[in-house]
Amino acid sequence: MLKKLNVLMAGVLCAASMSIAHADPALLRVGATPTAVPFNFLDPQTNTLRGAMIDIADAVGKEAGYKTEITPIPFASLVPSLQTNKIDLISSAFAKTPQRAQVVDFTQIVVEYGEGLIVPADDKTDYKTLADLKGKTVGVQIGTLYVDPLKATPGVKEVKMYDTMADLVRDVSLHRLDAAIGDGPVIAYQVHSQGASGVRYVDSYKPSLPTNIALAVRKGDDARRAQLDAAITKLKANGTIDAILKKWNVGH
Amino acid sequence: MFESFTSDAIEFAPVLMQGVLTTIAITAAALVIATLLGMVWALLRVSGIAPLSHASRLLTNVLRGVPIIVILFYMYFVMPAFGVSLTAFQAGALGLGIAYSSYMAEVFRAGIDAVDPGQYEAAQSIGMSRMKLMRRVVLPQALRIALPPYGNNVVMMLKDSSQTSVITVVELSMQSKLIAAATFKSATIFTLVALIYLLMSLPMMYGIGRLERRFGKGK
Repeated sequence: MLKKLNVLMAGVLCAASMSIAHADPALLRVGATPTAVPFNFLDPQTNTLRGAMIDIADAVGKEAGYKTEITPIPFASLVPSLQTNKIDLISSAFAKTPQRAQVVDFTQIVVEYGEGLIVPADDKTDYKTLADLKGKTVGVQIGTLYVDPLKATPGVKEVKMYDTMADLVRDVSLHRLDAAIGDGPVIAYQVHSQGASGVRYVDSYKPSLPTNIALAVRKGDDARRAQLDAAITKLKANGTIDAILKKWNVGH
Repeated sequence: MFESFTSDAIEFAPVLMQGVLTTIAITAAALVIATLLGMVWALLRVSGIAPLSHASRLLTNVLRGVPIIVILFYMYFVMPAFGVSLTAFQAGALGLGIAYSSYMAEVFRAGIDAVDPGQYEAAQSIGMSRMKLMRRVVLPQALRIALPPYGNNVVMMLKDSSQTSVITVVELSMQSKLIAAATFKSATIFTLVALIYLLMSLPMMYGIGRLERRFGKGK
């Protein structure tokens, strides 16, 4: 019953937004941190932003009757930019957490993925969990959800913080780190697609810390959130979201 | 290694050039603001009117004591709360300009202070007003003395324009970080960026050196 109601509501909202779409589409200003391949990154060939979250923002925005305009914004400036009305939406590798839900409003979850582990190429151990990293110096990316669990893991020798995934990979290959934890799709993309030398993606590792990515609107911007939620529901149902995630090899 | 560097450099240069244009534009805009404001602070400081000179000293000290990054954040993210909403570029140029106005003020003040007191006395003895005395006698000499440290500040400002990337200005350093994050070729890109900054700052230093030789003190 509730589900039916939801679908009905979605239908009504879509119809409403479709009628808006026939007029000049309103502008939806989207912020993304383009330092996470394959979620969002700058394509040096075309000097445009590309990636899974860019495609999702475009598709969801279009479905809800908007014309999207995407701006690159450093991670730490995402929330202030939203709060001071410089952008209307965050569509980035910006996970839904209780702390963040206090300052922004999230739509439903769009992408889910777990963490990945890399070690130097000459380390052949089949690590399975965080606990196996006993006695190791482990690197992690600032702002990810893995920092606290890693610090709480007993026996880890040292947790070092890094700005970007590229720095993590370099320091693992130079043996400054014994291992590094990061977003599974980002690590996998870098190691497999870019052929990072001297590091190994640990296939035996079982992720235990799910990251849930949702779109974020300004606190209290309920109308827009409902609109976008309805669009996401529709795009999930017709397979558009899955096709985007598959194209970029992320999630599930 | 070198071959891949050149081919990468050729690939990334067009994208980096867009960042270069923004870097130059923001530095130029901030330089105008910093120079004008710095001159105002310096003149207030030597005005001989106690409240004005105290206020100017307090202001420049506060500005010098606060990191540029905080001033930029304030301009972009806090000012909207007071009804002043600037674009990232405007906030960046204004923030950088205001931050550097304090350094420029110190440079100008030091220049003014370095003019021999005898010059003031001589000018007063022939009946010049204080305004006229500053304009005709003191400032022309003070600016010559201030030229080398002023040039130094301009070069520092060019490099500090990279800090505007935190408030989403896509200038050279931001553009390079984005390319590095997308391609993972950090070593190549940051080498390229260092070369580009050098290509901008070396001619600037050379130009200021020429000005010094032409107008500098004692020539």
